[in-house]
Amino acid sequence: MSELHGHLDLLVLAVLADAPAHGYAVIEELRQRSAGAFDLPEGTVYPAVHRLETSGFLTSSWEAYGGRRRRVYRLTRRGRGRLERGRKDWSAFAGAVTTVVGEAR
Amino acid sequence: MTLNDYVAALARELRVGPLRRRRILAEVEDHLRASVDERLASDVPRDQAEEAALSRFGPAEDLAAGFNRQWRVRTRLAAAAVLGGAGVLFVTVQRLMENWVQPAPWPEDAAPAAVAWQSATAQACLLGGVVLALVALAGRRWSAAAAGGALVAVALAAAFVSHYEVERAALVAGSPTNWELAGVCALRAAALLPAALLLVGRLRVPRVLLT
Repeated sequence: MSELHGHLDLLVLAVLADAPAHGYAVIEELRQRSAGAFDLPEGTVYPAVHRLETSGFLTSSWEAYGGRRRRVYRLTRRGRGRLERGRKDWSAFAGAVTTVVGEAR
Repeated sequence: MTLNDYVAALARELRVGPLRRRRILAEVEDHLRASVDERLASDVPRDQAEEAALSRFGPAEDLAAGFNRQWRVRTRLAAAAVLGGAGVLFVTVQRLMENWVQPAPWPEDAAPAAVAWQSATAQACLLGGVVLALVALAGRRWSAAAAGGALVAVALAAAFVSHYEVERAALVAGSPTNWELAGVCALRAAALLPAALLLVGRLRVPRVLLT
């Protein structure tokens, strides 16, 4: 999972762009969207969401969720802007790498 | 290790403020219980369900370290902000004394008895606040408490000094007006506000400082 280093924040923002979610759901969604490739240790995601919230990209509140009280995270406008910039940067980077390395055959 | 042991271990390792600590523990415990319940629903025995949930979470020390790093940044920024507030307090006192207040601070025999101890207490609080802020900047384990203590100490110093100035202005002709004094008090409060907001987690910290 070391390839994820530096991209975790962008992945979390992308997951939360569609709908607010609690930490457990963020991890599940990451696993599902990546078809199991991003099966993160659950403990790595919580410091990441707290960091994103501290930086103003997420906001959170306690909500009743399936009979439990859970901390639900949602993207702020600033977070949405960060996600858009991250998407552009990633596309440019991935395109450049693919150009050099070539597509898999 | 049981789920309760894990949460207790995490609580021991966390070096964050009390509100943040409560939130982290509640969040992690809720996640673990949901994870265990999901496995119990699939007829996995409780001890195995807890073991599996905990292994997915990783060691409590590593998890705590992730939170502690962020809190250390916040605490150090708050300590730096307290030092800035102490600087504003010091400079505004100097400016008042030099430019506004007439040479003799109090008319003969008119100074209230409380002035001496209030002045000494203000100086002690300011000095204590600066020392605590430096401890918070340098330390690890007690840095959050030191930053909080520094903020309280400098705020107390500001309150004593402001009270001193208001009392004096009421007795001495040519003193700053109440509006001018209120402006200085507001400036001091504003200078300490960033530190307070950082300590209660209400001020953004740039992501680049947290990664």
